Amino acid sequence: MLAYSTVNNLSDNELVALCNDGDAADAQRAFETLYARHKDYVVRIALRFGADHAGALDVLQETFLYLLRKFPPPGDGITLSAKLTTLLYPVAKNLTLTQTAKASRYSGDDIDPDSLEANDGNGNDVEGLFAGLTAERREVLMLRFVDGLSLEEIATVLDIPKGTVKSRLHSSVQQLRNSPKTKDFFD
Amino acid sequence: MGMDEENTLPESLVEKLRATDQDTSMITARVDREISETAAAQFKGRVRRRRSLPVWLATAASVLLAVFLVTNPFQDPLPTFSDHDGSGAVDIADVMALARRGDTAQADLDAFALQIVALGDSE
Repeated sequence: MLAYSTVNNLSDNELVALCNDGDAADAQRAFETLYARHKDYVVRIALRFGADHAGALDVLQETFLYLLRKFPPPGDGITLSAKLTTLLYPVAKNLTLTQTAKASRYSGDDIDPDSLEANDGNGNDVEGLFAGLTAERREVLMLRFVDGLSLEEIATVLDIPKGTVKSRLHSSVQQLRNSPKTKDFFD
Repeated sequence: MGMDEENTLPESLVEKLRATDQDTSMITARVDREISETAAAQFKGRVRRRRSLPVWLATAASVLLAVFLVTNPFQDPLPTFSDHDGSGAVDIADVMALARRGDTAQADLDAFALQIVALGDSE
């Protein structure tokens, strides 16, 4: 059985390989390490798409159960061809959208992610700075500048061509450049 | 200004963008434990899997093995049906001579003896 300190030093790819082929103890430690590394990210994605706290926790559990089911048994295992976040992002996003759509059907309210408020800890409405951006443009900005994904990785998680990512990113940055609320940041 | 340069944001604006992400402190130890227990249940009893060979490699190895077994150049040749005791005839005495030499497998001696008997019958 591998020590936690050893498992902690493994890359995501190596941890996935252990989840695929390791014995019970190693596979569990590897999975727990993947969970510890990425749980905050998954919850942030759920919150970005309008989940409340309880909903975000549901999305967290469902996302990692989805990942767990990929490993044998019962799954055949997975081979990572990109960062694990490129696999987790669409799962968490789609689970959240399904969940919020259900919630809005029951409550009769339409949830508009653009209307969510956030502040920078000093009481400043940072959400207002980006209010003019469409959800699509903001998503690309978040993936590129907050999550640090490459253009190829963004294309993968959004399942769109890289050229579309590039032009969407360009339009978003131009919009912020020209917006009265954000143009001063570029000076 | 190049396209890539145009597609960057000032760090101060990236900080504001980052601040739109909400706090994730609602992830409690109970949630962690539930995930851990579910994983333990799934992996329970698992032993280290051996990666199987790719099908093409296994097929190629089987073909090579079959060819080697059929044409094995290192295999001892079967004893020839010949006049081992110098009597001028190939008969059961040659089988006895081979057996006395001690370097021929019993199965080969049996085959030789059967052949001699078969030859005798046909004559």
